[in-house]
Amino acid sequence: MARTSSQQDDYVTPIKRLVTAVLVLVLLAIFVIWRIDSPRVERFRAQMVDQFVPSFEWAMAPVTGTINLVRDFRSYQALYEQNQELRRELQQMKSWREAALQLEQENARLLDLNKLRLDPKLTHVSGIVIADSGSPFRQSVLLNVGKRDGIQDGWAAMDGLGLVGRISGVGEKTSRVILLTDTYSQIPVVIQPSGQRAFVIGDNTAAPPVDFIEDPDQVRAGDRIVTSGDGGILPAGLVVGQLAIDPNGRLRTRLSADYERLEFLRVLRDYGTVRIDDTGDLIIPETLFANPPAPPPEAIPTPQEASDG
Amino acid sequence: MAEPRTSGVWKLRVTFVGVTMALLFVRLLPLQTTPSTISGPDIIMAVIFYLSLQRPDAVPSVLIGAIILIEDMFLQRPPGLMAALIILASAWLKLTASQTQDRNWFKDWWMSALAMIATTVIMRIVLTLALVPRPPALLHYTQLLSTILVFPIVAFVAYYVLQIRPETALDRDKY
Repeated sequence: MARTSSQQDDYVTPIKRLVTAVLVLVLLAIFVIWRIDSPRVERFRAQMVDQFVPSFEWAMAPVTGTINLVRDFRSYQALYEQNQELRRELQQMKSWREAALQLEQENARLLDLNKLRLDPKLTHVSGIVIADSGSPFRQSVLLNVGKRDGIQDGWAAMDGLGLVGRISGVGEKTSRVILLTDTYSQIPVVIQPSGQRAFVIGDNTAAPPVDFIEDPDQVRAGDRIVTSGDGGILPAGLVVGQLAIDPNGRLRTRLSADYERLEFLRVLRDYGTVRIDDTGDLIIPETLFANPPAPPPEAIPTPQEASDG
Repeated sequence: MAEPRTSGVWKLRVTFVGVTMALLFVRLLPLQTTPSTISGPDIIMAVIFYLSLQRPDAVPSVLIGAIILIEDMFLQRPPGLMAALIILASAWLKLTASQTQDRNWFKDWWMSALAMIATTVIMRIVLTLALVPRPPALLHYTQLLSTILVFPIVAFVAYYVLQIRPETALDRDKY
């Protein structure tokens, strides 16, 4: 019996090795194709995720819910201290609320006086987080809204408090949000009140660093960071977080959004603003274009007369 | 006599696919959305290397390739690279396991650890050469370390809970 099995192996083994070798080559070819034509493969990836993940949503939601329930239960043990802390915070908040209301009224009056027109109001689509990236190396979440809900690549995703990330990869029923903490995330921001432009660049830490700042001396810890809208990447004026300085003296962002609990996200509809790319054309009578061979002495006096009269 | 053995292999393959898919499912649950400083183990890799040593017939290259490629796609990794490396590592383990005489669990652990280190290091080298951003070094190496440490646990569960025993022991029982 041992003989037969070894004889079997004799012709099975080379075939197995051949299959393995071909397989490895095919897989490496996939990697090379991905390296060369990344967008196409990424689109395929988004479609694949779109096919499979929503079909597991029925299982994912209850399991996630149960685990979060257990976690919450543990945190409720510190309920009393939490309650005290919340009361203290509420008192502070009340005074801030008064200040905010007054400022809002003042702001509305000033805007009215100036006849200032703000950006058209952004509308949003809300989605539920159904999965995360699954890997410690990448920071992204999957939402249950996609192309059928009109989601487009590059739109901003926020929770109630601040910017969370932007859409990258849209399937029919799902879309992926690259979080600000991901190493692939780089967004242009402006630091208020100094108005310094900078970039928030994700580096897989909870507080992404602020880089390419024009003049670091003009900013202080605690300054507000909002999106600048440069390059049309995100709408301007979305709250990102506050500036903080880490022990190494590096500028970082304390994100406003609550990354501990990303359950529902709003995706802001952003069809872009009209971009002004060139200088305005001269306004001249159409007759000039209509009859190029027309003699200049006849054509030119017309605007002069018009301006005189 | 060949009948129950082949069906046993197929049962093992189905179990393998089921376990890996369950592990992938758990990883995709949106439980941790904040970045962590250190990484947990890649249990699927440990399972594949354990089976490559103990029951090579249960994890043919095609099956490993399919599973890891799916994992690559879902976990936003460069597709194909990890799959190719794990197939090569698993093939090396199968070959070494068939040639080594007196194997014990410690030797298995040592060999799979070697395969894991090689996979991680070669992956980083290839990503560097291809000018693809590499995963953060600390995360990558803590993942490697925790995968090596989790291997005995995987082996324990597979041996005592799922009753996956090496083929040689089965054969020895028969004689």
